[in-house]
Amino acid sequence: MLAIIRLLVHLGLQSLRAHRNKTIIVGGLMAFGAFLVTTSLALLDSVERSTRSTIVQSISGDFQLSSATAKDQLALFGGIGLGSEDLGEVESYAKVQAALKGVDDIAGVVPVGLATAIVGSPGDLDRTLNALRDAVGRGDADEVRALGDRLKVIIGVLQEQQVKQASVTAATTVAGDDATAIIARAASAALWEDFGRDPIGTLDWLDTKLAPLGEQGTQTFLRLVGTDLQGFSSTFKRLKILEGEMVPPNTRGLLVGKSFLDRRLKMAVAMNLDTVQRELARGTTIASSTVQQETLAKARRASPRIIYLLPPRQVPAVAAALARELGKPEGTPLSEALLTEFLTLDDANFDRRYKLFYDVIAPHIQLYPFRVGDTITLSAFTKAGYLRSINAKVYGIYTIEGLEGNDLAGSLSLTDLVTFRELYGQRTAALDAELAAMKSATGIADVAREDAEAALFGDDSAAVEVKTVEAAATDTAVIEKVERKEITTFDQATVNEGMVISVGVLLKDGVDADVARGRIAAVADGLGRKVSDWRQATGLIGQMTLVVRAILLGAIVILFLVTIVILNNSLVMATLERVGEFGTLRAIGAQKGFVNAMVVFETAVLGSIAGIGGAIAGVAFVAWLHQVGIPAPADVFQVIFGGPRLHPTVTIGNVLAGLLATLIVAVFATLYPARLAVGVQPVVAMQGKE
Amino acid sequence: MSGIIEVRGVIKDYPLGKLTVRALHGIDLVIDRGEFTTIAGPSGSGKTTLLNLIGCVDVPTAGDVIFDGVVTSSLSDKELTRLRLEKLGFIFQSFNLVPVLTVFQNVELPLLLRGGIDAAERTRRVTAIIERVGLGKYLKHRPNELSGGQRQRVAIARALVSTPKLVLADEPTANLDSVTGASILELMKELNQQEGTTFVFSTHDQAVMALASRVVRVLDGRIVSGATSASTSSSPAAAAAAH
Repeated sequence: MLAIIRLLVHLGLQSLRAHRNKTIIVGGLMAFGAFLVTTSLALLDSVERSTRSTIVQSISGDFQLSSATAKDQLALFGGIGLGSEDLGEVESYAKVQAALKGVDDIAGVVPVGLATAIVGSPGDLDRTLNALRDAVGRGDADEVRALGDRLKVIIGVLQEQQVKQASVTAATTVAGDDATAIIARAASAALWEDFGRDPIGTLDWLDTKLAPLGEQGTQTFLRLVGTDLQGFSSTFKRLKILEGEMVPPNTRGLLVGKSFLDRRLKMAVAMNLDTVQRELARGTTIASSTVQQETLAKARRASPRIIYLLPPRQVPAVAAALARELGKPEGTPLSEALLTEFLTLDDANFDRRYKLFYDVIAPHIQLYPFRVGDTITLSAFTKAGYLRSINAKVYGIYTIEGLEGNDLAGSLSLTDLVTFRELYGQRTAALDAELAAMKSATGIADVAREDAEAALFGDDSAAVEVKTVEAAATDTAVIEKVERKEITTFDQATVNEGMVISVGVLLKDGVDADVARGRIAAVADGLGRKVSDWRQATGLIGQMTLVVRAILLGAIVILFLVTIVILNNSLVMATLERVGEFGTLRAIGAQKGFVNAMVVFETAVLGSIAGIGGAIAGVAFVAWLHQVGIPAPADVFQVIFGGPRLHPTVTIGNVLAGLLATLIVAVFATLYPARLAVGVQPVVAMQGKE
Repeated sequence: MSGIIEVRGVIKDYPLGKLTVRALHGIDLVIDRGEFTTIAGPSGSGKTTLLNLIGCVDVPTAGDVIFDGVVTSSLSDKELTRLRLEKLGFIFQSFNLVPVLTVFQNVELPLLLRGGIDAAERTRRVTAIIERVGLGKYLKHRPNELSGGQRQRVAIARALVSTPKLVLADEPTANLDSVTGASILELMKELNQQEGTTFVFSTHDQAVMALASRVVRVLDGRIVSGATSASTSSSPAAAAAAH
């Protein structure tokens, strides 16, 4: 037996050597297959590990338990569909939390609520007018003077824009004349005389007449995750507070993502300069990229704001610095033209002027619409469809370790569960208390639905005092009298007992996710919940990893089929060439099994050698990639790469899979040729030529 | 001597497109042990077909081929193969050596396929037979490093290494020049006389026929002369008894 195997090995190796061209083609193909499988599996696994570590350990956990009856798939970062999602509700977080306590593999459980809130930030004119009104109220003369100066600058810019607009539209608008008149009066010395006599009256005029002509301010959509913030930060350790502090326990508050602030909310000049700076760091040049040129043009267009964002006493210093940079005479005033020229950037001056911007201008202007410590108004349409606004304090700015520069990773703002429930439209103790306060202040009594007609129109109508609501203005006036009772702290029971959208589960390290899923699903089924893994729960991003995986695997499968066909072809050719040899062997007494083994063995030997070679090449290639790193081509890739660069690693499993795949392909490709060889009749030997 | 091969009323048809061509029209032939028989006839006469049937690489359409008392048409492919391995040796017109194996390995091949013979014994037998055919110096050569005559000697060694009962040779000299051909035939004759191996070979070469102890002439699928042995013809019963 051993001698036969030795003979087979010998025959195999010798005939591989003898048919060198075939060996090179077939072996090359198989080596390439092994290389491809090893490399792509290593990449896929690395991507999956990175994605898992970034997404799972920063936001989503391994699994999300949500309502089994929800129509839409939970998508933490937003799904593909537009409009409001039906994600269902988990009525009591505490119940799910208690049920999951029994599962060993779990490292942490966090409640998750999702809402989208609008944050409005007023325009500069509005902001200045409000600040001026406050300063007048406080009687702060210095502040009034400084703000008055800023107001004059803003009005100056408005007037300039008005002139420009008029030249373009050629006074076709009737309203235009009115606006011109208002701005002219606002810019006149007479206005400031009036302000001196009657500041409040003048401010009222400015608020009603001038303010609507100014820029409208901005509205930003915040994707909010309502959660138990303490539990969240102790479960997801990659969460880091960069500025400010953690929201204290059981307190209403907000943590905003750093990258979201920088890339969505930052002052336009700074934001656009940052974008270009990032792109240049990646090796782009301004000269070669129209995108960067356009981004810089946006920065230039937004630059006039700098004039009035700067505190008036800083203006001369800034003007002097810019004049020096641009080689202008000393004393050149800060103007739109000067700023535009300063921001006319190219590859030669970008770095210097970027630094100058951040050294000289940025420290004196407010770069973000709100600061840590500010209380902002979050507005959202509740599930019932009405607009609900809640004031919440911004306690801190957070980032996710390893994904500091990433847009998506910081796109979620974190808030407490009570704020989420209110924005979602859930009745909460805080809401009830506010409603009660409103009722007592306005003297409205509860009237049962069935008694309403009798109460209003019955004989004893005096029992109910009917408040006549004549106009919206009056209505507001009534409500305004209510001292709005805003609840900013609450107890743990309220937080735990209430509803959430889903419950995130983070597994302990090294736990087999599939096994754990079974255990968690058993718990979830009992509660009428369904389990989504992180890929499903993260919507687009998670699905993208699936898509990438599917595409790569699909490509591998197609390539393998093609390889099998090509291999099969060349092996058939090789077999046909050797019909005489097989016939001779059969004639002198070799059984069919021997001929079959000969053919299969030969390909298997080649497959093993080629497979090992290909796998070694694959390991070397991945090792090289690990050294240099694959740069993330776009933001979304940073999430699945786990950072700006993917440093893939190869596992023994990847190598074995590469080898196994090659062997399987080799064997499949040999099936038909081997059958051909076995079918060769010994009589052929009598006819054959050598 | 008893008949090692008995061919009884053998008909062999070959399909040729939609037609059937009859290559052999009822052949009766007995070959005794130790004979040095040639089957002669022009191309297309059916001599190779007859040789294939005797060599158990083909089975008859009708009639029986009885090899050493066994009716070949009753055997499975596996049993036929085993029979060829153990009792037959082949010498081909085109030598048919395995090109990737050395002289030694080619000759060793039937012993390896047979199994159960240890390496030392194999080496002894292989070197002995190679010496016997006069190629002792070429053990490690590959077939493509040898002349045609030398290759045919290797083929003879391969056919004889397992001491078969019958060696079949299909036009063994057809691809050789006359001098070499003659020396090959002489070698075969020697082996026949010294080892007592039965030889059956086909040829249309007069010089070859002259060396044969018996010439069976085939024409158009029929035996025209030499159907019975010069020595005592053996009955099937006798052959079976001998077996």
